[in-house]
Amino acid sequence: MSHEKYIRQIALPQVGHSGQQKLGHSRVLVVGAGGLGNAVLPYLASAGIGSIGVIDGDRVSLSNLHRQVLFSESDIGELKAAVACEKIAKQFPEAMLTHYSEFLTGENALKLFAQYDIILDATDAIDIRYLINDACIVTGKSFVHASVYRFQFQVALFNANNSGTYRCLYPTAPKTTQSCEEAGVMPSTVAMAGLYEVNEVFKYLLDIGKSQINSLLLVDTLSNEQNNFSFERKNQDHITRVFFEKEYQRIEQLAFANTEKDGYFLDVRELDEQPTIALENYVQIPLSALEKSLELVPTNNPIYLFCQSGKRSKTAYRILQGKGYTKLFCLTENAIEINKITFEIIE
Amino acid sequence: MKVHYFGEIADITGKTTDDVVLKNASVAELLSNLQSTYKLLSDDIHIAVNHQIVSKEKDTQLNETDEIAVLSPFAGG
Repeated sequence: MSHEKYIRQIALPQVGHSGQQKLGHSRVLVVGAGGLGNAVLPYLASAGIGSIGVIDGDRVSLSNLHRQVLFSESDIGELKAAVACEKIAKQFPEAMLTHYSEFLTGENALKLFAQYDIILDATDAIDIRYLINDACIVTGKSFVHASVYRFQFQVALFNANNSGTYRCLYPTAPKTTQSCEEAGVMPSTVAMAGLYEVNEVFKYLLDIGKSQINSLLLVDTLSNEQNNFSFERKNQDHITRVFFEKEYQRIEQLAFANTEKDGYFLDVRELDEQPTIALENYVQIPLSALEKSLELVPTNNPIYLFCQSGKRSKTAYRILQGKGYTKLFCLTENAIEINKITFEIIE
Repeated sequence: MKVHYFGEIADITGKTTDDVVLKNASVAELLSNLQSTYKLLSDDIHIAVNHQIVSKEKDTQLNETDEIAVLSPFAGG
């Protein structure tokens, strides 16, 4: 890292060489490479943040270009996260950039968040904010939030040093809200919101100033009025890994007694495991061979998965879900229980 | 009392501020008033009294001099 490049910010007593080192060792994950993402990425990189991740499964479109200024017309149709990282890498080669060209889900959030120090919410959907919030609680990470409605934006830092969370501010999601696509937005508004977010990231990482915790900043860019609304921290002990899995990694479960005649029983145990099962419409494909044997799994019938303990059947559920299977169920009973139910024990 | 509307709420009410006359009212009565006047659903909005967001379950008592803000989460980004 060239110190001369950062000398103007190192000159700040609140930053100095030690602060610059902190930034250089920091890892920031940006969720979303849209308007907010485009605003924050250049400044995260230019300030010398060591490692920056960007996750977004969306592709560039023409109507993005007025506010997503890292993209040009030749990028239309390309994956936003990849293009954004490519552009930033050219200008700031010191930054270690990682792009994840997929959407944040209950499946990837926890593993991904664990690799970063702070999460920056640059999404445009409220349900994803609850996912970010809950994944941050489970992984013990803080996240900076910004969101835009026309000429106004909101900013806050959540889950930092035991502070309040997005759920403390907004316990439940409203039934309807409008995105930038629907409500309209000026590029300057979303850029300002992004810069407030980056500023909160710097303050948090450098441990300087007063962080936007337990209080929501609401800025009106037409009147230039700013309001701070404080909110109470509420107990979030119920947001556990189990809660997260139930909320975001939902697996359809079904009792053997409720299975349909046209369904197929898919046993994902190894071939030599006991007890053996005698059932109509029964297929046994060990989990390790499942992806290579999909031709044996009917696509139009319900699939009832089971194994010895219930663990492998859940993994198989995710594999088949990823392959586009929709009528999937994990049986609530394991192989031993199913064997007893069918009264067909073969020793 | 002075009521300020933000974001989408201001678009629904058609104004950014309002003078609401409610004597010895509670937050629940204000919410009821907002629902009957503007069809604002209590579940979708949040009330700040003098810049402190209040829990709707607590049913805080309001004073004539209180400054009220009606907020909702924004989606865009």
